[in-house]
Amino acid sequence: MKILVAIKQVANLDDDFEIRDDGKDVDHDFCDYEINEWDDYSLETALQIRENNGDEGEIVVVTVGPDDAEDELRKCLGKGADRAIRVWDDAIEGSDQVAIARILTKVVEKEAPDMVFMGVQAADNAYAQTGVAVAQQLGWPHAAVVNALEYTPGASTATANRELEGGLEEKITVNCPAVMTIQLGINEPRYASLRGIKQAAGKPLDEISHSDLGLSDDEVGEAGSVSRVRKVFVPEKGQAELIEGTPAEQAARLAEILKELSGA
Amino acid sequence: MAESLDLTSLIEFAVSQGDPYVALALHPFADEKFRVSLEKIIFERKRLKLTFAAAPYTPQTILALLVDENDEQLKLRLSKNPALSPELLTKLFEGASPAVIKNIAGHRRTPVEVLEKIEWQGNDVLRAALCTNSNTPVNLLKELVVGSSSAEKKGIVANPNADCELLTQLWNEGDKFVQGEVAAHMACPPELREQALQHEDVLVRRKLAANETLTTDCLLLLMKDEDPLVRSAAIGNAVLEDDHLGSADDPSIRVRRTEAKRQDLSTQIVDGLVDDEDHWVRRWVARQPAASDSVLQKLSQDEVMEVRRAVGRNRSCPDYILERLAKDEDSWVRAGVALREDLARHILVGLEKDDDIDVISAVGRNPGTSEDVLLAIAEHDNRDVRRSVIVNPNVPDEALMKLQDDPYPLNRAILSGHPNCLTENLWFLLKDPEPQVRYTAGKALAVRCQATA
Repeated sequence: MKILVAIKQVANLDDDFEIRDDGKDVDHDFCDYEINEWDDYSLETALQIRENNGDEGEIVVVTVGPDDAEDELRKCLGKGADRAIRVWDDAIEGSDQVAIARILTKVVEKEAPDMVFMGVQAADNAYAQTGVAVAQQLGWPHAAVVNALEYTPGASTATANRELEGGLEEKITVNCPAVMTIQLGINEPRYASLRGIKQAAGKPLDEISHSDLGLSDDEVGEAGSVSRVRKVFVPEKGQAELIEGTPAEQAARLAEILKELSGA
Repeated sequence: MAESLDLTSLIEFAVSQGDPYVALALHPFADEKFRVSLEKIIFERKRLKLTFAAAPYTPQTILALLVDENDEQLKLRLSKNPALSPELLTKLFEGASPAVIKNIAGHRRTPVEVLEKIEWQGNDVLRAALCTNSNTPVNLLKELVVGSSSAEKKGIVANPNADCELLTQLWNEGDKFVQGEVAAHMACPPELREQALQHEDVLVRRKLAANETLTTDCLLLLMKDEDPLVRSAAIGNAVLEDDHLGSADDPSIRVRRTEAKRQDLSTQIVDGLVDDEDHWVRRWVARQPAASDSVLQKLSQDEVMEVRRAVGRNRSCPDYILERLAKDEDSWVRAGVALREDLARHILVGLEKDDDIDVISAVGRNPGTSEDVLLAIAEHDNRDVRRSVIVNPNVPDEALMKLQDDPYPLNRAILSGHPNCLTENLWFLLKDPEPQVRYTAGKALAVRCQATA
């Protein structure tokens, strides 16, 4: 059994951030980086499946990202993944979600896993497209926004609960191999033990470029993308009330608002 | 090296590791030669400078270097740092941009001399910041109040530096909310207190009743107020001595709750409140030092679990009641008993066998718990239960050695900052994956090195 888990290192903004001079992104000096929260749940799903399978099987984590993204891969290895792959080179810079999906598709074809897990969306740009785009490019079945999963390694199908609008859930069975985009709350992600983190330093982490995957320059970066970021900006503030005055006055106004909202 | 308490060895180790968070922790302890090496690590990236400029834990020695940098982004963050010293705020003020001056005007540590230099006339933002700064001196407040808006008056009235003259002006010009704050102010003049006592608005009388400089006579009048909010504020006023408290029969639940919360109730009042229909009142009564055994006995059988727990937490609770509460059907009650450091050994032994996580956590904190039980709790499946052992004054070293490797980062963070943490633990935690843990461990080790030097 092999499960491939795609992860992303996402930006976490400072309170006082600044937009880059070209107006297309936040200045990286004002960002902290961490693993995408959804991907923590994806990895945990894979780890639990392997544990329930007598610890048999391989879990491979992959990311498309620059040198710093290696930190997140090492954390995944520290939690129990067996191997990691980081895809990056200068030509990949500027790739949109479709170009990233194209790269990940090639990794999946190369690795030939039984199942691919990805987060529903990335916390920073929230496209929620990469997972389903990978499934589409592979021609594999997929289930999106999965909040429960029944899958036994080697089985020809997997049954997933999908979270729908309005509190509804949908239970579907898909043929395997398949791509699942995993929702928050499906499990309780573990923390890496210190021993695990130390062991992670010795686990294999391959660094490959787009050409190693057989992709041309035109298939990655801005050239291989179907969308372009034109502008990143802070929108004008919406409706909000700053409650001012003495503590008693603030409490009185807050009580008024609560009464208005509750219709009292 | 592992258990060494030599500052030079520690700093040399930090320099060799190149970790900015450990370097940050050690910088104030290092001599000039080592400081330069540590600064190279701390200031290696712009991102780190921005982070440390805004962080309240950053040592003043590093903040002083950042203040000297000619970088507006850094200055803006420094001006928001609540830990920035008055001296550094003074330095930051020299040649500062309007955005930085605005933050300095509102900063709680800005010295009076700097506040007085701020040119606020014609600038609403600066004026508002100065009005709400509790450091603003009374002479400046008196300038600010001239022509002030209603919102600015509300900022000024909360300032502890306001004097009788200023408060009188605010009373005369302000609305009921301003008048309420004047009535609550420690410096409220007697004539305004008289007016507040007779004020038609409940808010003003209620704020007056909470003023801890009131006379007993004034409070006794307010305890007879027709409004329960006013009576409640008066009865909760710490100035009121226990022999002036009411007879526990106020018709308002709010008043009885406030009365029950006081820790100085007489036996007579406790007896009057013990059968109160409101369980919040009974909860507070159950915590009263003056509660007799018979009161505690009665409340220990209360239908509301929180009341029974409160009995178990009462320091005067006798063993025979604790013994029963230690077997209560509700785990929260049993956990309350298990938290008692004075618990008789034979009761604690029974609780050591409990399998509820709240009870196990409480047993883990209890200094009377046996060593083998503490070792077992340090390996419990539940990460929050394991943490309880760290703060136990009698935690065995073996348990701490296990917990330094705990997968849950919060547990290692608590360990690194706790006095129980062994020097050996601290050296180990210097290589922790979490920056907070490494920083805390570095600082704790440096303090210990300095103490033993």
